[in-house]
Amino acid sequence: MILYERISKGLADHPDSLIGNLSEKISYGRLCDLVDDKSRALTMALDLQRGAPARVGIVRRNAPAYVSDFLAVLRVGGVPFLIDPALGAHEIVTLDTCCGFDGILHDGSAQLPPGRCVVDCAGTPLWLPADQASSRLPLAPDTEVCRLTSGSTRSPACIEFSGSAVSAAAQAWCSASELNSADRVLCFAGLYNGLAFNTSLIPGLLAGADLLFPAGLPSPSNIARHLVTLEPTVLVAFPAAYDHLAASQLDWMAQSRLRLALSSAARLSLQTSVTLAQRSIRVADYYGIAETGPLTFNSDPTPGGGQGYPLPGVSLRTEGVKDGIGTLLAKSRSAGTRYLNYPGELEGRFSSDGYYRTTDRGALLPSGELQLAGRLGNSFNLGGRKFSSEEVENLLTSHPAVAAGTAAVVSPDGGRPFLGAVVVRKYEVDPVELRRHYLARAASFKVPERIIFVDVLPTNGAGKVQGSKIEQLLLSYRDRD
Amino acid sequence: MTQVDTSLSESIAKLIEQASSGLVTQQLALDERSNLLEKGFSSLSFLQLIDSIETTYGVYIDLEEDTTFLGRVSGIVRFLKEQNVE
Repeated sequence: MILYERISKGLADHPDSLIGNLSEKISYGRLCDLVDDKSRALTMALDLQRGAPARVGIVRRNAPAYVSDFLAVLRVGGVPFLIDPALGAHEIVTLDTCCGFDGILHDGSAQLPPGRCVVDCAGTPLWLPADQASSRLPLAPDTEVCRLTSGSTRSPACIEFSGSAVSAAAQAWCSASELNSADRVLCFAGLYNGLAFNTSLIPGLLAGADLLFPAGLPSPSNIARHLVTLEPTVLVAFPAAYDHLAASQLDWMAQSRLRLALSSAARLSLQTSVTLAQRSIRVADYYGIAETGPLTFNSDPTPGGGQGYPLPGVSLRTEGVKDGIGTLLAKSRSAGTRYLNYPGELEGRFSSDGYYRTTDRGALLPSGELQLAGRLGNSFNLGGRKFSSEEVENLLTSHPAVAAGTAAVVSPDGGRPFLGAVVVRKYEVDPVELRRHYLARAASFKVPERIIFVDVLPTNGAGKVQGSKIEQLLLSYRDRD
Repeated sequence: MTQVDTSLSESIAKLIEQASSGLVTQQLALDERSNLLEKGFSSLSFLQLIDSIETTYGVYIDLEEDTTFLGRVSGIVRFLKEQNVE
C-alpha cells in the first residue's frame, strides 16, 4: 500500500509536528500510537475476507480523530471511503447498498442506517452492517482511497483513487505551494472534500506541517479566533467563508501570520478578493475537480486574476473554443480510476489520449494561466458544494404529494445565489412539510431554500422545462401556494 | 414569556429575515413548530445570522461546540440570556 508507507514516513520524520484544533492538539508521534490502537481494534471488529480489502466509511466532522481513523483503515490494508457527514440517511443507505461497507467509523453527527451493532474502535464508534453484502462491485486492484462527488451523476458517485494518484496530487501540491514542515495549516473545509484532502490532509502529512482542523462553521469571528490563537501560515476555506470575511468589520488581519490563503470549488468574487487584498490577504483561487485532483495554483495571485497555472504533471487544453473560451480538458497523474457505483461513466469522460472532459468552461491565457468562465450542463455549484439538478429533482418527487418538480440556482440582483424549486402538487402540502421530508433524506444543501407551487411546469413546444421561466418564478416569489 | 423575551424574540426574528434575504419572514421565524432549516434557511444564511447576532449583541458564538440552539428563535433567546443580554 503506497499511500500508508509514504504518510508513515512523513509522520516518522516529523514526530513533533501537530494535529489538532482549538481544544485538542496531538503530536505526529502520539498520532502514530493512536493509529496503532485503532488498527488493532479495527482488525478485531471487522470480519475481514481474506484477500479483499475492508471497505470502511468515515463519516465525521473535522477532528484529530478523523486523521487517526483514516490512517488506521489504511494501516489494516483497508480502503477508507470519505463521506460528507451532511449526507442524509437515505443517501448513506444508497451508498452502502452500492459500495457494501464492512463498517463505518463515525462521530454521531450523521444519520446512519440501522446496523447489526456499534462497537468501540479505540474511541471512535464503528457501525457494523446488519448483513454482509453477498456480492458487491469489486474495487480496482490498486484502489487505496474512495471519495465522493455528486456534480456529475444522479446520486453521490464513489471515485476510486490509487495510492499513486493520491500521492501524486500531494507531491504536486507541495512542490507548487512550497508547503513544508514550518507551515501551520488551518483548514475549514471538511476533510472528505477535495479542497481539504488535496491541499491540507495528505500534503500536510507528507510535508510534516502542523494541521489544524476546526469542526465549526467558518463565520468571520470563528476564523478570526483561530487565526489569532493558532497563528497559522496557511488558511483553507470555501469562497463563502471569504465572502463573509470580506463583509465583516473585524479588524484582526494585521495580526495574521498567513503566507497563503486558499480557495476553490467556485470562483471567488472580485469584490471579495479586492477587499481582502486591501487587508493584506491575497487569496489563491485554484482550480481542481474531484475526478482529477488539483490542477492549478498561483503563489502570487492578484484580485480578479485567474485560477493559476497548471501544477507539475498537469496539462490543460480547451475544445469548442468560441471567443477564446471553450470546454476544459485536463490530464493529471492524480485522476481517479473509475466510479465504483457508476461503472463505465468516468472512463467514458476521458479522451483517447487521457484527458478528462470537464463540465467547466474557460480560457487558457497566453501566459499559461487558466481563467474559468462558467459551467456546462445541469450541475449546480452553491458556495462550493457541487451537485446535479437530477439529484434535486429526484429528491423533490420523493415526497408523495409532489407530481413533478424542477430546480435551479438563481442569483438575485445584489443578493447571494440560492437553490429554488418549482413544484406541481398532487394534494395540499406546505413548503415546511416538504423540506422536513427532504432533510430526512438528503444533505441540507440539496434542499431548496425557496419552493413555489404551480399547476403545470412551464415547458416549450418540445416539452422541455423552460429554465428562464423557472428562474423568473423563483426570483419573483417567496414560499407560497 | 416576559417582555424582555418578546422584545429579544422580535429582534432576532428581524435578523433572521435579513439573513435569509427575506425568505424567512419575521412571522415565520417566530413559529416554533419548525426549525430554521425546515423554513428554508441555508448554511450561508446561518453564517450571516451568526455574524449579525455577534455584532448586534456583542457576544461570541462558539461554533466548535453544540450549535443546535441556533435552529429556533427560542434557543437563540435562551443563549443570549445566558450571556446576560437583555
